[in-house]
Amino acid sequence: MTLLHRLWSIVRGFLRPEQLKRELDSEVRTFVEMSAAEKTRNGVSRDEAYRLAMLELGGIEQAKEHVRTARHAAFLEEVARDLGYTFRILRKQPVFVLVVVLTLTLGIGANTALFTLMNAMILKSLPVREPDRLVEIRCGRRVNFSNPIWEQIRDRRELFNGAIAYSTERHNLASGGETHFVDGMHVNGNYFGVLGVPAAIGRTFTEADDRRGCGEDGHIAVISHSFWQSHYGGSPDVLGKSLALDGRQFTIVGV
Amino acid sequence: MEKLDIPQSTLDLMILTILSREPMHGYAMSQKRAALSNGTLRVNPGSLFPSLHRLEQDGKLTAEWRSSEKNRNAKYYKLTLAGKKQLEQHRKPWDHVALAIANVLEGA
Repeated sequence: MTLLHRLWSIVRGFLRPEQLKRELDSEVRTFVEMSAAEKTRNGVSRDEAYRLAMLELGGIEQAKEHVRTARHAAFLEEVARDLGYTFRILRKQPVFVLVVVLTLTLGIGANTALFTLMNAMILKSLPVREPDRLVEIRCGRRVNFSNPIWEQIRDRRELFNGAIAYSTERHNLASGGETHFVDGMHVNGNYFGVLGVPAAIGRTFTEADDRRGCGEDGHIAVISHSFWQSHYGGSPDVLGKSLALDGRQFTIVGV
Repeated sequence: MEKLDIPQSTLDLMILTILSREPMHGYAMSQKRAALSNGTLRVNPGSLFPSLHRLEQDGKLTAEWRSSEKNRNAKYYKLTLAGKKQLEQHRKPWDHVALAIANVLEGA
């Protein structure tokens, strides 16, 4: 009961300071009016009665200030008392404190780590234009489609604004000697166009590149920013260089 | 008769005692107390309100606004269960001390 009352009064003080102020004001004014009314009944003139009532109270603003001070002091005293009590109790049980602190440390640490992971994987939206309009098509449990099915999906423009297809693969980067694997994707022509991701330098793929036997530039590749930095030092003359993937030559057209 | 200064804890005890009979607003309390003690214990109303608010914050009192007998909206204070407990706890030692002092003074 006491605890509830205390909490309520604290919450009220924080949430509705205006109301508290108004209430205090009208409480003090009521006091003055009642006191003055009593004095008037006893034959004192109205003005004099008010003056005396104010004097009795020691001034309206002063009285209000006293109340506010008392409230704050009571609150601080309470907090100080609770804190002191807490420390005294805890000092008697150092092992318990150690366990609690360790548990909290590990708990918070683990949660932070997990959240960071989840945030990156799930919560953060993909770095594409309108990620909320992106859907993945599956056929039962299968996410893989053959090329004819893909072409059907791609050509049904009434269903989607655009369709993209990709397959992830691991490529051997070395043209000979020691193998050097790198993760890559085969994507369709308007992959970047549909996702709304422009090239940092050079160009991305176009529909013209996406046909059997390749477009006019032959086999072409768009590399990621991190690959650009790690393998070409971020140099802009990477465009037009050739890249060997599984022994086949690709021309880099964009980053 | 001279007016007496009242220590904080005694003021609290008086407030709790007066309110234990019926809920009251600030002005009525100041009148009541003056009447009960024949005007000896006149506490400045300026220190009555801080005590009321402190006791309210402590959960010893609750307050509600209703209209007074003279049709004025006033804040009525009422004892809570915790307030009643505090009154009982403080009342007994006070009675003991008062009795003891009276005895000593009589005996002397």
